[in-house]
Amino acid sequence: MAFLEWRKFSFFDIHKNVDNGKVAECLQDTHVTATTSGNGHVVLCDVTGWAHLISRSWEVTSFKAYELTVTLAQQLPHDPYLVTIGDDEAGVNPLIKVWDWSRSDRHGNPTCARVSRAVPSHMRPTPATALAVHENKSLLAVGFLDGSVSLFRGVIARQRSGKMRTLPDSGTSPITGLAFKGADKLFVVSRACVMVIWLGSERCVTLDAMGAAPACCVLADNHRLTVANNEALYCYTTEGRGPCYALEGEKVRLDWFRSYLVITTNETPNKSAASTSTAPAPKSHHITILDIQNKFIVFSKTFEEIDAVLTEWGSFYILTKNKEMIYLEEKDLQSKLTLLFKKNLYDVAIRIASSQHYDDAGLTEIYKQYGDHLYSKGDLKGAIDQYVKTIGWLETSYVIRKYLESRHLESLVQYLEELHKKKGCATEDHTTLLLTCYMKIDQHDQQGKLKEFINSKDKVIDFDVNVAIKVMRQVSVDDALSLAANHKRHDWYLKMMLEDKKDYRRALDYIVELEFDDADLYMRQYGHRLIQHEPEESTKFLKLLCTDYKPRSKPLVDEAALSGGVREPEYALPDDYIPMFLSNSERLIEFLEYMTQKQTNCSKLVFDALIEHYIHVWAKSPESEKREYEEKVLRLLKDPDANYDKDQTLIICQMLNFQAGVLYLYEENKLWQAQVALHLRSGDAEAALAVCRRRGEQCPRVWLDVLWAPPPAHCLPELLNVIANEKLLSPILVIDCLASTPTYTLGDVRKYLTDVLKSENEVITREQQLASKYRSESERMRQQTSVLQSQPVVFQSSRCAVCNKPLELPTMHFLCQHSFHQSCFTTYAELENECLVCASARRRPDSQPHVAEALHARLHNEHDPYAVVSEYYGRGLFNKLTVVTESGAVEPPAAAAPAQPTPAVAAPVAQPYGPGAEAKLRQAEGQSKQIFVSNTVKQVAPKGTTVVPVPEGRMRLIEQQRYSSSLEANLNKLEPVHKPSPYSSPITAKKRFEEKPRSTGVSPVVQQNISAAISNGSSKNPFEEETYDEAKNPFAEEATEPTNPFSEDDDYDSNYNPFS
Amino acid sequence: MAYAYLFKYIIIGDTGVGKSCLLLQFTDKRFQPVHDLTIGVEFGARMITIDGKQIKLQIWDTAGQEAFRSITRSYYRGAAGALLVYDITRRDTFNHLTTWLEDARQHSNSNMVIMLIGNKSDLESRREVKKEEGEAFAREHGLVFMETSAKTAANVEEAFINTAKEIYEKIQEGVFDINNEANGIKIGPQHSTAGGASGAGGAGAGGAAGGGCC
Repeated sequence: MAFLEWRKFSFFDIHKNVDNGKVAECLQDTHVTATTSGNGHVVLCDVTGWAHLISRSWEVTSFKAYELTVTLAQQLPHDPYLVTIGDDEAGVNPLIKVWDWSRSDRHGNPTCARVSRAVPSHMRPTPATALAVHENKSLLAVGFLDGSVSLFRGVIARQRSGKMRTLPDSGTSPITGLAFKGADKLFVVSRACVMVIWLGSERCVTLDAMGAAPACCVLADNHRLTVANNEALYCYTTEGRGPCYALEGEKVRLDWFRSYLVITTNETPNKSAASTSTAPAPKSHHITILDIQNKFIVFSKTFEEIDAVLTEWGSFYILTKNKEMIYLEEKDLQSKLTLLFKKNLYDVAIRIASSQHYDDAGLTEIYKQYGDHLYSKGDLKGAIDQYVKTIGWLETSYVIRKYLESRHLESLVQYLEELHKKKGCATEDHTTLLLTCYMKIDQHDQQGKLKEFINSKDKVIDFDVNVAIKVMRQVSVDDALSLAANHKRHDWYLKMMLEDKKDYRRALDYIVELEFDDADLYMRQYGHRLIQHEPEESTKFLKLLCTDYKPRSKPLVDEAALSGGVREPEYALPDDYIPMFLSNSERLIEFLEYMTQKQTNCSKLVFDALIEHYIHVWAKSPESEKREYEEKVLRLLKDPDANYDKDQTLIICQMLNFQAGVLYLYEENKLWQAQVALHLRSGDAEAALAVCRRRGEQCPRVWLDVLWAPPPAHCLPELLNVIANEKLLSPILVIDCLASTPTYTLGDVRKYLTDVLKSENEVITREQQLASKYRSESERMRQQTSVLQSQPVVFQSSRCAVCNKPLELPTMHFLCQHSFHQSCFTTYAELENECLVCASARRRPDSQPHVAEALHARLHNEHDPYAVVSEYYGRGLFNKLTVVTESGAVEPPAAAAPAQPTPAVAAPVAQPYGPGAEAKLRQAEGQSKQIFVSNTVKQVAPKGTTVVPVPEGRMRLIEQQRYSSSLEANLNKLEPVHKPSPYSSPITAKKRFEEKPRSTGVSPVVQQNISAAISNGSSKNPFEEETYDEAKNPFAEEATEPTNPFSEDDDYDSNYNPFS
Repeated sequence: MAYAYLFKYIIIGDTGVGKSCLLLQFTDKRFQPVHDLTIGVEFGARMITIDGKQIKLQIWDTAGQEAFRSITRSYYRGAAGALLVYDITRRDTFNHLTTWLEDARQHSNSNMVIMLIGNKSDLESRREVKKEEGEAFAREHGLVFMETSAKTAANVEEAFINTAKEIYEKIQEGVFDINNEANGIKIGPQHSTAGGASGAGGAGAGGAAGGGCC
């Protein structure tokens, strides 16, 4: 039945005569009856009653244990106790002896610690057949031929301790084996059955109704009892029967060695051989060693008749009938494996190696060898199974190289798949290779493996999706797309959709499905291309994205909403998308219009872009449609909510020549001059004039701009009229200007000239009158003074100036002819030596701080004085002609000029910087610069300033300004009454206010002034003028005040003058 | 491991039909394409849950070889369920079913639940025994029938569990004497009745009466 056996190997080497015949020497010609081993010694007991204790170095200690014979012996595994059963006298009366061979008696023999009868005296003596000693030294069982079992409890090494009793129910057939299982169970094997006895309850359970021969049972690996009969080996646990291993043969012995079962069988002599040979075949035994764990026969050999099998010292020995000690040495693992490799039994090798806890590297090597072996045999599929197991240890290229031929593709795929399943083993190259293989297979037989792979949602195979997509993209964009979609690699998906498929609609559809963040991100990335190709849809989507985005796939009302949570609306900023429209103005307009309608707080950029594109479209569209866009732009410009950048818009309007917008913006920014210039450039003098009429009051300069244009003749009268009325320009320059235009005739200006001359004449005469009046007045005053100084004064007033009651002593008299009661005076007067009446008249509340003082104070306090100075500059401090102040007042502009700084100081507080502020400042700057230029030309250049050659036109302009400044200077000088200077003493202030209404009606006087100025103009030294101008400078104000002698006179001129 | 009941099973059938593989698939959930011949009887166990109760299945996997028949026969007794396996790709294994069934009926207790299993259902292309034939045989002999594949694990669980269910039902119906261990049913530790008879059941073959209680 050899074919029904386990596989056979030879894992043991035989070494004969390991003891150098020492055992044979001690045994001589007796034969062994009992053997046992434990605690580093082997014990052999012979038929003559001797026991031989053999140490590892084969030193034999022999002693006489029994007078007659030893039948059974057991050495405790961890203690130097030997338990024997034998006979000291003839007849059946077995004795139990316990030897302690660590102590020796006087003969040098081991001490006998205990001697007791095995069979109780009341029972019929019967030969003992089995012995078991528990290693805890307190349990001892003896089985007898009649089937009874005796159990001793108590310390076995003491003579009188413990009890002995006979266990019940153990049957009648001879006991052949006993084994303690733990401290509470005893396996009992008889010829007829296998039982387990629970020592606690003395309950006996029959496990099987099959028995065994003596020595044919062994308690293997401490929990299973293995019992051998002729057919098979049966395993038992205390619960019942376990597995069985079929092994034929008449068993003689059963031993357990590590995980091996050593079976000794009677060798049945070959019948044919027996029949042929005349001599009876010598009796022989067969040793079979089973590896129970791996189910192999690891050794099988026939020996001469065997007396004993001994397992001690980590190996085992066979003692033959001829007293020969044969040592079976187990091969080491490496040689076992080599043996198996030689036979190509790699699977067995693997089993053995793993059962012996071989390390992974070693196992891998076996797998590899196995794989190589299968490969060389042509079993490529089998080989790959083995190679798969080497993943993680073996260089993958080793395997892959072998399978690169196309017919091995499936194996390669299998290997690569496994590689991917194992974390961290697969590299990009592997993924690439795997996918390439899939594709090859698919090409070949359309298995759709690739698809399967891609669609593996649960990601059975761990691979780098990016790599996969990259590879797939080269072959099948569709597959790559679905892969990207499955793994949510939106970037790849869109890239491929746009670059390879050029299916913009689908790409857009894809984006629509995404969550907000992704949608936003990818729209930014690919929006341009989408808009280029799918303008309508993209725009629609963008509108959605920028208002209240929700992925299309999401239900309208999601769970959060149902549960009451308010969904935070997500929307993107339209700003980011503006550049994507690039030149597609119409779409952009559509988009932005929508945005501006939907959202009130759109950024500047949105409006700017919208306006810009409106204008672009306007520029491009035919005349018929221009109107519509123009309206749109203007509506937007006028919309107070529209938050656009005026300057930028202005530039755009100018660039694209969108006049309506330019004009509107000029208007907004109060850049009327620019407005006028624009009109004039386009030759629309009427429009320019209209602007002048509208804004002339605030910005008289515009009139002059029109004049310089030059305007058509029919506009002249109005223009000149205004210039004359407002005294915008000296008549000489007007003439000069007009003369440069050949189209005008003298008739056009006649009226103007006559008016001017007439008014100037009037002024002169009035001035002269005034002069004479003042002269006489001052004369009178001088006389009064001399009277006061030289002549006595008579105080004639009879009433107190305060209480208006008749004066009573004590009284006080002042030279001003005011008299007071002393009591009244002391009550009211603040100063002792001042007339109450005159003082109260003099002391007016100083309502407005001195401009110069304010400036100085500011310079002092501000941390950045330069900013203050530049602000003053910016507000036109030295600007003679930009008269922006005191709107509404019909005061002569020249008069307003010196007063200009007053409101200018107040202005920064009241009025925030408007959008036009900068432009205005710049303009002002330009003008002040012009003045400066004039200085440099006419004067010695200030240090560090280069003399710039000034073009003629500019020169003229400078001249004009210089003239006007001189004019103002003259006005100041000549007409102190009408032009009360803020720099005059506070006393005059009140009066000036009162006088104001009067001065409104005196424009002819001013005209006179001008004419006077003209007359002096030529004689005036320009340098002087400048100096004067400089003096008027508020920075130099302190100096100005004393130089103006008339200001003081002014006071006297008033009716309040107490002296008058 | 605590269990309510322990059922003993035996797997029988011709050699090479896949008995060991079925067991391996059921206990270890794996398939070994190359399997050594079973020499003697092997053994496997697994816990399952039926009706909320933990049940331990103790399964004897026998050698199919005729030579081992004498050994395996002794294992019939004391089995509550048997899986009678044939190979759908080999007609002769189906033909031998009758012999196996007779053997089983003869050596086991009469209440044993026998399930007929047509294994290797994954090899459809090499099928020799139609499913209908298996069904017919099962009907005829009062067996439960199922086709399984130890390789793909198809129906393997079901085969074992359905058998267990049937046994469980029989217990509920009182058909099985659960106190007699010879029936292949054992009550788990926590179910152990105080009755002294529980230890009485011996697994003795050849009709040897179990020893009485002491």
